[in-house]
Amino acid sequence: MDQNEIWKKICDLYAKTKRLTIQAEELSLDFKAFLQPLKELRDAYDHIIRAKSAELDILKKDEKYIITNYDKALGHQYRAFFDSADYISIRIREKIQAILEKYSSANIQAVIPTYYPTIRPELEKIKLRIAQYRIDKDIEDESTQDLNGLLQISEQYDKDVLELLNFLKDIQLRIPALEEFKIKEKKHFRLKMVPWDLFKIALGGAIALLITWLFKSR
Amino acid sequence: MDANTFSEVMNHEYPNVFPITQKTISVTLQESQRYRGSVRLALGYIWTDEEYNKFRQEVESKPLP
Repeated sequence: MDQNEIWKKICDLYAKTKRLTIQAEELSLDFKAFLQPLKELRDAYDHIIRAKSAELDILKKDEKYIITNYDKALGHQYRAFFDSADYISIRIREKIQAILEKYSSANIQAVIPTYYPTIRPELEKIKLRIAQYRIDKDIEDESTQDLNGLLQISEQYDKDVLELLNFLKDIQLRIPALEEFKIKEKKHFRLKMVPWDLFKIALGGAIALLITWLFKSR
Repeated sequence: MDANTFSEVMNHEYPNVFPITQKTISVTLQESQRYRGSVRLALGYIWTDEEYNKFRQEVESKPLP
């Protein structure tokens, strides 16, 4: 692969990885650091310095050494991207679960009409696709070393993560409406329970009267 | 740096700190007084490999509402 071509891919993947890392940080309320992508970035940087040193003749190496090191840097950059994408996709799913589990199905259906017919099936499909990316990535990574294969997988993965983020934003925007509906649901439930409550009071009174009458009649 | 040392340094791999375990966190906490850097790392707020895999499995196995 041409050096400029490799550099373009490294820059593109680096920007994507950085974006995902920043977004994942914003979603993580436990403030825990996820170090795996940083290790890959460190290794990519190491290979870039090796290649650049050879280019500048600080290291006495041939052209093949330079290309091999840029290729390896790109390989680490891909792994950094995959680790970050994996982390943020799990964080988004966790966040969606945490938001929606507080509300009834009727509430979700009323406030987010697209959730059951569109969003939920799509979330499940993305989950399956991500599992497949992980398998494909490992195969490409270990057997063929085909960077074009990794490129395709990373582009699809990035699209899916962006879609997940859009779903999350959509759901987060509906939280006030979900809360409002929840209050209405509670009120409605209380009103529905009034006749039942009155019946229980009346039944209690009747039983008390019956017991009193039984004692008196002895 | 002379050329030989430079070449020697460049050919060395970084020490491998992975997989991250509870022991890694204990050592980080122990040594954090001696280094300036990330507050999260100094406080041991780091995902261990085991914790992350467990978390990932929990989230994936939990059905969506």
